[in-house]
Amino acid sequence: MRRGRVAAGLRHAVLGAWVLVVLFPVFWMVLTSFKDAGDWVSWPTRWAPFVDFEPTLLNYRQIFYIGGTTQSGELRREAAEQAYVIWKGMADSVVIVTIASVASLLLGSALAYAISRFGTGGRNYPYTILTIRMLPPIVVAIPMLIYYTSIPELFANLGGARVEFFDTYSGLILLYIATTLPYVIWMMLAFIDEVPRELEHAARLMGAGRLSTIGKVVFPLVASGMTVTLLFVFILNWSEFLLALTLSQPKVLTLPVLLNKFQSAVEGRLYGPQAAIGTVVTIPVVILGFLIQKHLVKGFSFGMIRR
Amino acid sequence: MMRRLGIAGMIATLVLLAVGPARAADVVPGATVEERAVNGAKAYLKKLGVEKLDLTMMMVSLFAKAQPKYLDEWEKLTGIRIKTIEYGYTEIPAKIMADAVAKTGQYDIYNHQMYMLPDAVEAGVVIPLDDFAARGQPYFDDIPKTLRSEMYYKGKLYTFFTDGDQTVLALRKDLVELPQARAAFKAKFGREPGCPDTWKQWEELASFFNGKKGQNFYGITLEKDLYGAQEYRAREFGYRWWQGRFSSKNKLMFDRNMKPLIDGPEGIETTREMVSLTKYMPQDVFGWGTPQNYPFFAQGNSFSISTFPSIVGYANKAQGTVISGKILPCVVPGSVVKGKLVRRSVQPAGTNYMVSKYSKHPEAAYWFLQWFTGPEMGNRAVADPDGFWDPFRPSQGKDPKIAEKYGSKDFVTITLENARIAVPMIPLQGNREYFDALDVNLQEAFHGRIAPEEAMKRTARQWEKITDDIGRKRQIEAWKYVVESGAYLDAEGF
Amino acid sequence: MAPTSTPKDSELRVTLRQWLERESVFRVLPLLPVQLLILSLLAVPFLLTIYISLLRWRITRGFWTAAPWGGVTNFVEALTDEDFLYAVLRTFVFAGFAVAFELLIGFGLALLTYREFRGRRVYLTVFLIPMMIIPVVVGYDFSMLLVDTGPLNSVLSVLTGQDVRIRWMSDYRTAQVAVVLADIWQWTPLTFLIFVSGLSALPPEPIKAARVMGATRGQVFRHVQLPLLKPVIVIAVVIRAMEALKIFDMPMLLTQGGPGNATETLSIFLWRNAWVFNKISYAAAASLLVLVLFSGVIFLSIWLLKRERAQLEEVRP
Repeated sequence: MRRGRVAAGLRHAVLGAWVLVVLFPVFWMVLTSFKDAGDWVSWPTRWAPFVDFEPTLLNYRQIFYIGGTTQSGELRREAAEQAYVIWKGMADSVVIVTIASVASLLLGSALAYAISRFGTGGRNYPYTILTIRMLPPIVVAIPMLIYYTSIPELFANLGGARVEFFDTYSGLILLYIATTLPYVIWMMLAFIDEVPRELEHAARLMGAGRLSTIGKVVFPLVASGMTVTLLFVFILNWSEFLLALTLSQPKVLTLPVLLNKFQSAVEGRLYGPQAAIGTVVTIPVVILGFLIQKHLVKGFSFGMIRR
Repeated sequence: MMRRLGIAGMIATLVLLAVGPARAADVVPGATVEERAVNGAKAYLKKLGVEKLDLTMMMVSLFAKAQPKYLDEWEKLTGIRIKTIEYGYTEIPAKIMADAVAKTGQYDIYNHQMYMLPDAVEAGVVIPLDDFAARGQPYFDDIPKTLRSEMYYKGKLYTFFTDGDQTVLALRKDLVELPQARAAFKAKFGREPGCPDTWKQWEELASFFNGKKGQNFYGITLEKDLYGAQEYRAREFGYRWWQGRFSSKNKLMFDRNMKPLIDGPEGIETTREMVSLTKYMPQDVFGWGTPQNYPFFAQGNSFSISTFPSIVGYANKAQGTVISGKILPCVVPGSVVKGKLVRRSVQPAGTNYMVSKYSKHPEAAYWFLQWFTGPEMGNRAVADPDGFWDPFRPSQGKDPKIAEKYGSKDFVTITLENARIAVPMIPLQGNREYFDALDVNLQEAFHGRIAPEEAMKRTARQWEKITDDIGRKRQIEAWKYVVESGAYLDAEGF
Repeated sequence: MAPTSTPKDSELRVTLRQWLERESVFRVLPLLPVQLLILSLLAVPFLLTIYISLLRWRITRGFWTAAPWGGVTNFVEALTDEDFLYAVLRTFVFAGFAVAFELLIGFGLALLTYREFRGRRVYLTVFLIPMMIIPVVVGYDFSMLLVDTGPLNSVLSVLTGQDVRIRWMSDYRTAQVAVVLADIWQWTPLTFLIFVSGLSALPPEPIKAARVMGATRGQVFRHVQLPLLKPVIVIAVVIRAMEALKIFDMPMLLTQGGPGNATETLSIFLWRNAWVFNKISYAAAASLLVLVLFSGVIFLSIWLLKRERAQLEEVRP
């Protein structure tokens, strides 16, 4: 019993230390977002609000241009435009990334099952497909640009309707699906491989069809794996910058592209406003993390209870 | 033979006479540059038979606050609405080049810094404006030759000048005027401290005007460490200031066959000077861009700074500044070449508006350019406290609003003088490759990892390779235009 | 009359299901949409990249259809380019350190949290946060933290009792360390998650069996749990390594590849050549070399890891 206590205490100590490491940068960012220019990089560091420095909403007002912060007074047109742009960036990202990630997960999992149970595509298929991810996207961006902007002509010539790809939602979604499929396939393959075939055979012997076997036997066991895969793919797409920069704008505007504009604002870094943007953008992510974590836990315990 | 020529000549003259006046009549009516631009735009719309027109401008996000009101005004005057799509200035070159490849026609106007022009022209994504200018008659004869040359590439006009970023040297007036300091300085160096004539003199000032926190500095107690100097030493910046200093040795960077001349004694001396001055700077300067350098100076941490002209306005008016009213702007120092003092500044950025080749209404785009950069509008832009356009036209020296923006009347006079001697950064195709080679080697020298001679030798070698890769004949041709336009004044080596 | 329509519908439905149940359909159907997508979207640009790498095309030299032929010139140039070779070396060193630490820390944290205990939820939530923040934001954040007069130096000063003023972003060595640290901070959650998922999916029987036979915890770990985790470890290594080798956002945002070239990874090198210098053909050739290199390394590691697993499986009955 004593040993258990000590072990538990040690565990909390180690985990707690990592919590500090994780939260320190986040804390600093939120803190800086409330600081005035003189306090951003002062030495000694200003830690506590109201004690070391005067907190201010100046940075938030600046990124939303609410009320204007310069001598020239209010600039109505930009205030509305600025706020709209930030919301549009978030909305576009959410829509594109969610659709692409879910679609990628479904298609990839189905294929991973086929590969695991039937060897679809041959022995080397998983490896060839993985090479897709090994090419740094930077260079492929230009050929993609050439290709995407000439697709309308190609389709028109083939007698079809005019299919626009450049700067469209569907263009980016399809591209994100294609580029994340290799990971989905790989990860789901490993998780599905871990499910013993005997379980499925047993179910089939008892008269269940393929689809219901998968639904009732395989799916629950890989659910946690699917959640992890979905999360990973979601994050990859969420942070994807290069392809979005090259192949979208202005109709489609994802968050990473939008945020990069602020970064280069004044030949470098205005820490305050950037911290404010960072905070605004991180809050929903933290909330999402909390929600997902609950499902991850459920997924794990579900798997264990079954056993 | 003569008779035939005679008749041909007569016919030719008659034709010319008929066509000539018609050509002259092409000039758009209007007493001022701006008026002509507005009339030209209105005439264009009339020709199209529309009342309104939409254009798109790719804009540096820096101008997001300042530009819109001018666009609104333009819309009211002409019915042409210009929508802006902003990018950080680090992304715009890539986006312009992407447009060259994709030919989307999405943008009518590109806005970036002056050095982008050669690559944009060679990529075939912008159009020359000579024909439009012949009709619109913009006026740029009063701006210095050096700056005016940046509007052209290989003899053709592509953009208008609207932002004088020529570097300035700013000193701390309050420190320079300390009576005890003045006496001690004079005793040591044989002259009164003040705006230096040469780079060496600046270094002498830096070596004198520094101290530690708490030290008694000629009658005052230093509240914090005082550094002698500040100048850009970071990646993407250092090489710009190097070019100004090098030009003050009155030497060109390439000869007429595009052989680099930077590894000669002048180039090595320039690098050595910059390395030497670094010892008076805060060591953190290696990672500093503008948002770090500016507040550091404004909070009274150093005696002098060589940077963009906006420092003066910033140090006088920004939040948190402790040196308001204590700044002494100076004409950039120089070097003594063959007995003469040669001062040279550099134009390290500037603002550039180009018309896209794939625009559906290039003429409409042109009229906006002429209007916004005209003497009247241009001055208003420069006087705008939200904008980042800085003075460059002589007429701006008399504008009280502009002096008000910077908080200092002397400053405007000084920066206009700096404009007169501000050389452009290498205005050739592939200039960013040349810059990068110089930058990386300079960084090695600044950090003390290689000697200045080695740094310049390597740079020269890399520059030769770059020139060969781009095409030596093309570069030779373009460089000839540059030198003959007077961009580098009377520098030698061609 | 109504009964006549229903049997036909259900007949149709039954046939569709039967058709799906057929093994030949089941094994091929999932492949089709995937192949279609990949071929139509990625194959052409990829082939185009190969073609462009054989030209001598600069964007400032007109459209690619008019560029001169280069053959293997670009490839030879890349292989003899010091900058390129150093970038390769640097990238592997960065990725090596970063991934190694991420695996170790992630695994350690996973071991401590995969079983239920009080407060587990809080830890899980918090640990996930870094990887869900957009890299640009992480970039700003770290550039604030790592400023010479910033909080990290401040904390270090408190911990060591001295005035710590490490120039994280402007000194050659420390800038490299900073990039690796930032990557570890951001991506350890991923390895952590993969390991937690894997550990909790381990079947309990072999472990119970080993304990019953008298094995100690350590022996159980080494000889039972670890081998069973092999596929998961392979995944974690492959995925992290592949992304780490392409690292771009962090060094770009923190130091733009500087000071000098200290943090210029391969992606930054390629970006600079393609987007700043407009040397598209050269960048294409270099990136194909990179592709070959990465593939070789990754496949080699997979093969090594899998081989060990196969050997183990032969030993167990």
